[in-house]
Amino acid sequence: MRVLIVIALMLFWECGVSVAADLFLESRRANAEKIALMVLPFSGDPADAAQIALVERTVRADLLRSQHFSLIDPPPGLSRSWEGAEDAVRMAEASKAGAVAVAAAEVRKDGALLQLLGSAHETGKGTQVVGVQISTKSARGMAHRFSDKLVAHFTGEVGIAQTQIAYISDLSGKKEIYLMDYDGEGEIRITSDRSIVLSPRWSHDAKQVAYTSYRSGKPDVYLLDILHGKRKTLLAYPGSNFPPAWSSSGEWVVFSMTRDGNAEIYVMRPDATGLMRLTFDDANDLSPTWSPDGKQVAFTSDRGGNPQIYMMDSDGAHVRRLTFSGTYNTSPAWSPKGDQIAYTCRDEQKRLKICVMRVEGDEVAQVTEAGDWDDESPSWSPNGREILFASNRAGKRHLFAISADGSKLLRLTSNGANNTSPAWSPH
Amino acid sequence: MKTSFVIYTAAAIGLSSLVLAGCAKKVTPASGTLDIFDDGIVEERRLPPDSPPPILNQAPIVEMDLPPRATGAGEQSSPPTMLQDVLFDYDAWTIRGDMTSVLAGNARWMKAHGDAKIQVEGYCDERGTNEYNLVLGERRAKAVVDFLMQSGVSVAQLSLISYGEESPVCADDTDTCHQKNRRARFAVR
Repeated sequence: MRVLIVIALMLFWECGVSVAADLFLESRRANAEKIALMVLPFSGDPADAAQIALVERTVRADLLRSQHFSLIDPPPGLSRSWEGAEDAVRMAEASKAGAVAVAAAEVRKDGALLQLLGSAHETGKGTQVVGVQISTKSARGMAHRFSDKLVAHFTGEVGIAQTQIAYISDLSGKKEIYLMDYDGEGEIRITSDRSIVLSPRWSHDAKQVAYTSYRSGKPDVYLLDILHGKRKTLLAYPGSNFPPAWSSSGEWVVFSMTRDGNAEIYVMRPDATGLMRLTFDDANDLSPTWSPDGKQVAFTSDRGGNPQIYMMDSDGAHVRRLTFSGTYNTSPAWSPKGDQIAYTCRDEQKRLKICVMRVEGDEVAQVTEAGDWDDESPSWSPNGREILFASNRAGKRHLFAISADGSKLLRLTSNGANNTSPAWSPH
Repeated sequence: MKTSFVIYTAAAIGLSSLVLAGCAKKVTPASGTLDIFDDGIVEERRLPPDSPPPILNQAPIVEMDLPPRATGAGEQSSPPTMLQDVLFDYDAWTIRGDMTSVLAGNARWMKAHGDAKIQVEGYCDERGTNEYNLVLGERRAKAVVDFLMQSGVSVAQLSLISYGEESPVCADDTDTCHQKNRRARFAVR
C-alpha cells in the first residue's frame, strides 16, 4: 500500500512541477510577496518523536531562511496522515488560514536508515505538487533535501539548504580547515596540517577545496579532494601562493602569487597547465574573483596607493578601478547573479565592514552595521540572497550570514574557537 | 598622533631587557627616557645615533648556539636571538626613521657572523584582510632585506617569508598590541 502511494507521489511530483512553478514565479515577480506556506506537524512513530521534531524544525528553519516563504501556523488539530481521505477538508481549512500551500511529512525508520515521505499541496485546487521519498542516515540531511525540493518547486530556484561552508578554525589549537552545513551544524575538520592555513576556496563542483598552508614551511597551495581526503600540491612557486577561484564552468582558475617579485594575478587550467600572467605592475594585485560568465575578473590592487577593488577582462585587458570611497577596500566577491560585488570596506571609525556595490562601481551600500568590531571575508550564498562573513563582534571571531539587503543576521558558529575565512560552497 | 621621542639612555640595565623584549615589552621609564605616543602607550625606543648598538655591548658574543628553527612562527617562547624586531606603521612597509638604528645594529651583527643564515619574517596586525596582510608582511620583510643588503649584509645570508597576520605576539584589539604585531622578526638558522 505504502509503496503504491510513494510511486504515485513521485509521479505527481514529476509532472506537477513546471506549471505550478511558473505560477508561483509569476506571483513572486509581481510584488516579491512571500509564499504563504503552512507546514503541518510532521508525523511518525511516537517512539521517534525527537528525530521527527528535529526534521520538522530544520525544514522550517530552511524555508524561512530561503526568504521565499512566510510560514502559516496550522490550526490546532490539523495534521497530515498518509491515508489521504480528509485532504479536501484540510486544504479548505489551510486556505482559510491564509496558506496558498501546505507541506507535510512523515518520518520513519527504514532499517538503519531514516525515511521521509514528504508532500506539498496547493490549497486552492487541492492539487498535490510535491511528493518525495528520501532515505538517508542523517535526519538533518533529509530535512535539507526536502526543503530544497520545496524551494525548487515553489520558486524555480535551486535551494541552498544542502550547501556547505568551508572555513578556518583554531578549535584544535592550530588553524585547520573545517566544513559545516550552511546552518552551522555538522562541523568537521578536514585538514591536520598542524601549521598555518589560509583562505579555503571551493572548486566549481564543490568536490575540492584549495587552501594555502605553511605545512612545508612556506605558503603553498594545496588541493583537497573532500570526498576521498586526498591532498595534492597545486602551487609551490617561490614566495607566497594564494588559492585560486574557479570559473563557474570549471575550465579556468584565477589566483595570485608573489613569484615575480610582488603579488600578481595569473590564470591557468585547474590541472596547473596553461599558466598565464594577467597583471603587470609594481603594485600588489590579489584576491581575484570571476564574474559568473567568466568574462571578467575583479581583484584587489594597491596600485593607486592603497588597496581598492579593480576589474579587468579575463585576459587582463581593460583594467578599471571600481571603488573610490575610503582608503581600504579588499576581498571582492562577485555575486552569483552577476550584478553586484561584495567586499570588505573600512568605515570612518577605521573598522572593517561588509559593503556591496553594483559591478559598475555605483550604488555602494554598507551591509553590516557600524560598531566597534571588524567584519571581513565576504562570501555569497549560491542563491545570491546572503553574504557570509567573519566578525569579532562577539569577542572571538565567528562566522555570520547576513541577508544581502542587511535585514537579517544569523550567527553560524559558537564553538568557542576563532573561526575565519568562510567560503560558501557552490550548489 | 604625535611621536614625542625621548631618548633612552639607560645603559647596561636597560640593554638586556631591551634585547630580550624585542618589540614586545612595555618599558617603564625609570631614569632613562622613552618614546611615548600621546595616548601614553609606550611604543618605541630609540638610541642616540652615535651610541653603539646594544648587541655589541653584550659580551661575550661567542656563545651563540641558537637552536635550529625551521620557521619562526608559533615559536615565540623560544630563546630570542640577538637581533631586534623592526616595527612598522599601520598599512605601511617603509622603514621608519626610528627603526634605522635597530636595523643598522642587526646588520652589524649579521656582517660579524657571516656564516649565520637569517630569515626575515614579515608580520602584520590582525586588522585587514588575510591575503592583503600576507603580501603586506612580505613587503615589510623585503624592505628590511633591502635595507640590510644596502648596509652590506651578504644576500647569501638572507631569505624572507611572510606570515601576514598569523602568529601574532599578542591578541588584544588595542593599539599597543597592534603595534607589537606589525613587525619584522629575524630567525637565525
